[in-house]
Amino acid sequence: MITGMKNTFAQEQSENVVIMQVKPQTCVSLHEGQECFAQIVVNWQADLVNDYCLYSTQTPDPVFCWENVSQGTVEYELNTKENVRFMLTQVPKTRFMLTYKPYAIIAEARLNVSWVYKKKQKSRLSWRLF
Amino acid sequence: MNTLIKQRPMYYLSLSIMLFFIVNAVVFTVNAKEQINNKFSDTEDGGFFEVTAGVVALDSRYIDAPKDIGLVADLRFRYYWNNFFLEYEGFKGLGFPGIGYNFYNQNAWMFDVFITETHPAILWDDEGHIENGVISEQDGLIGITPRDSDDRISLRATHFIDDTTVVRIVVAPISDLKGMADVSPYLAGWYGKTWQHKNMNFHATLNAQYYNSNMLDYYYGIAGDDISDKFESYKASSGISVSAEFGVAYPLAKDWLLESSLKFTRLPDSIYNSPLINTRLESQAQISVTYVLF
Repeated sequence: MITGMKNTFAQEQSENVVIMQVKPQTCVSLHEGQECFAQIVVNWQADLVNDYCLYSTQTPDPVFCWENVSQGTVEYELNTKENVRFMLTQVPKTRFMLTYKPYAIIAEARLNVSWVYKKKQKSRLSWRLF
Repeated sequence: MNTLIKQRPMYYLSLSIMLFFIVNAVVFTVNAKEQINNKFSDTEDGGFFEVTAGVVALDSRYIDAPKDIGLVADLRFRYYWNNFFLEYEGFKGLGFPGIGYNFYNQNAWMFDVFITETHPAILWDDEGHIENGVISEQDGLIGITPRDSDDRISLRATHFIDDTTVVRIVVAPISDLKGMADVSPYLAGWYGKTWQHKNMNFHATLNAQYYNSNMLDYYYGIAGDDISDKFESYKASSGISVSAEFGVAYPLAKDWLLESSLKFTRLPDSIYNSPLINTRLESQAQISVTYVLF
């Protein structure tokens, strides 16, 4: 999944077009509700050099932050039962300027979680065993 | 080719019913896609259907059987309709598609009455090889009278100890081997456990099956016209077979699985000296790709 999103808060100064992608795009586990494990690689590229942070819906803390860059890559292993949304934010240089929205999301990507067996059933367990 | 085929009315009956269930399953699947929260309890109408293909290596129990490696393709399905169910667990299962009725499903217990095959037929063929994971046509057995499959009405209890552990018991006291209902106890029990490491799902099962003397003597005894220079007279008594299986399933993609398993079966002592038997420890290994239709 490739999601491009214009930097809304930076548009007044200049347009910062950001492209971000997540690989793999889908994590497949055996059963619905089961933890799915994936080695995630997030790539992004922006027009402007700045400070950026990558967040996910799994944790309120940033996954990774970069300073004075226009592109970045982070790779890590995650496990999840639900879809994970990744959000790249631009850290404003001048946070005291109230006209700017700090930490606005400038790009998004998503890891979708899927299952081979869509239904969590007791009988599915016995099905696998006997 | 001299193929001995047993007429199995229950088999064809089950196939007819199976077709009925499959048609219903397709309709059900189309409807299910329109539902947002598609949740089911274990025995609500619906089910699953998967196709598997792969390689099986088998060291058969039968005398002069080839240590064969072959390609297999198989179906596995289970479908519920108003508590009636049809299931076929492929060559790993007990036998041909079982037809049954679930009359209790509360908490961690399920009870079913169903008809299934508790011992496969023994046939022979000059060109016999692996068929659906089992060497069902044994060229090493040329000359013996074919043995029919043992089709029984069974009571099955399944207890879910927790989300990863299951115990199952099958009691089937009535046999049709003599062409009529005959008291011939058969008892089987399974203990199964699954666990997950990353996206790999491992499973291990232990199984024991008790066969009474009539049943084992029918399949592995030698008498009458079967007696020859190769097959001496033999009478089998009752016995217990035990088996252990270890397997792994890995999801390759949505609807696709890679599966592998290794299974060992120790035959009952009472048939080990049968002229039809070659090895006490039967083994089977398989690796396959499975497509889950629904």
